[in-house]
Amino acid sequence: MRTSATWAAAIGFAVLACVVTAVTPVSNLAYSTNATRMPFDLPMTLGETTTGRTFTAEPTAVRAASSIEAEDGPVEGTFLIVDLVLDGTGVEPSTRLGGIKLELGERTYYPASRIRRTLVDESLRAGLPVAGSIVFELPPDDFRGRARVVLANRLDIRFDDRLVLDVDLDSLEPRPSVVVEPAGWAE
Amino acid sequence: MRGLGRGFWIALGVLAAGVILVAGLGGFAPAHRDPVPLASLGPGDVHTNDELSVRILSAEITVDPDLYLEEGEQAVLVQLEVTTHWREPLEASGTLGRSLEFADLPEDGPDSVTRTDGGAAGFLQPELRAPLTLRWDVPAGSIEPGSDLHVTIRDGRLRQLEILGDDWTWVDHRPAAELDVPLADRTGLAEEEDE
Repeated sequence: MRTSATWAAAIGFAVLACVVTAVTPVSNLAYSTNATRMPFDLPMTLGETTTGRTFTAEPTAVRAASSIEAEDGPVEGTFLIVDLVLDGTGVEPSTRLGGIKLELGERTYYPASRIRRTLVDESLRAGLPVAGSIVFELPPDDFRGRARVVLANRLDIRFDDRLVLDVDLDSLEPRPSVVVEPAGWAE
Repeated sequence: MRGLGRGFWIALGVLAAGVILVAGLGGFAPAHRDPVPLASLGPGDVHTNDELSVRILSAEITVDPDLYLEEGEQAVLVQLEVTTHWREPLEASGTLGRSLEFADLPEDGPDSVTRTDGGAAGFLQPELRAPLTLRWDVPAGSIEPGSDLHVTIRDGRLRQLEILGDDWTWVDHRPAAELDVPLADRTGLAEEEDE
């Protein structure tokens, strides 16, 4: 091969590599940090138990409220409340839901810290189901569209599953005042 | 010199041309950072940047017995409202530590950050206004009641944490606005009780 042809081929391959890297989504790049996370999502349905690797979850109700009755008076805000029954699977002696979030459009919300004694703090052990709620606070103007409630045992998931519930916020009518029962042993 | 061959001189020529080009465009001039004049705010004014909106409402120095202060200590309380405009939740106390600077108060941040309406500060959530109270416990007399608390608000820059990942972080916070908040004097409470 002639020298000029070698140069042309080398430069051509380099350009081609740049193009491929540029058009590949970041999460699909083999050497991207995201490639080592890649959670797989298990869809949840209301009233049915979905089993993940470390815990199971049964969403029993999805509610909206503009005020929550707490122990020391009402807490005002625009809230999405997901009532759940959770249980450990026994894969790990004890699991906590350290990776609960709500995805709405491109925004992410963590459970509201203002509401206490929710499922956020519960330890899950196999055979000891826990019932309670998870509460998210959203800006009043953004309480619409489709949201995804994601349950996982940690935020930084590496090749593990997440349980996902699709919520249509438009179908929920916010009630002026609701009670969120403290998390505790399920019946 | 002849032994170096033609390729060497071509490479050197290209490099020299590059250096001349960069120099011509001002690339070697010392980095020029004029200190940006700080916006001057008053208590209750909102300062907004890409990361958050901050509104400092009031400040006070107090010996309120409900705060369970140690003997010989006073508490400086600052009330403010913060809204983050970033799409991910931001941890409240760390974010405020980077964005706010309080003259005369310990640099390592407030002793506690709580919600003014009760409960832990937790995370600042996208577009949700959070009323917060910052608290410092300082030795009595170290801060003059009735003086002004000088606050500097700093703007950050969004940076990708790993070039190939999707983790983003706010870094490089620089002063952008300043204000003086009068420190309301609520230290009279204890003296009245002592007398």
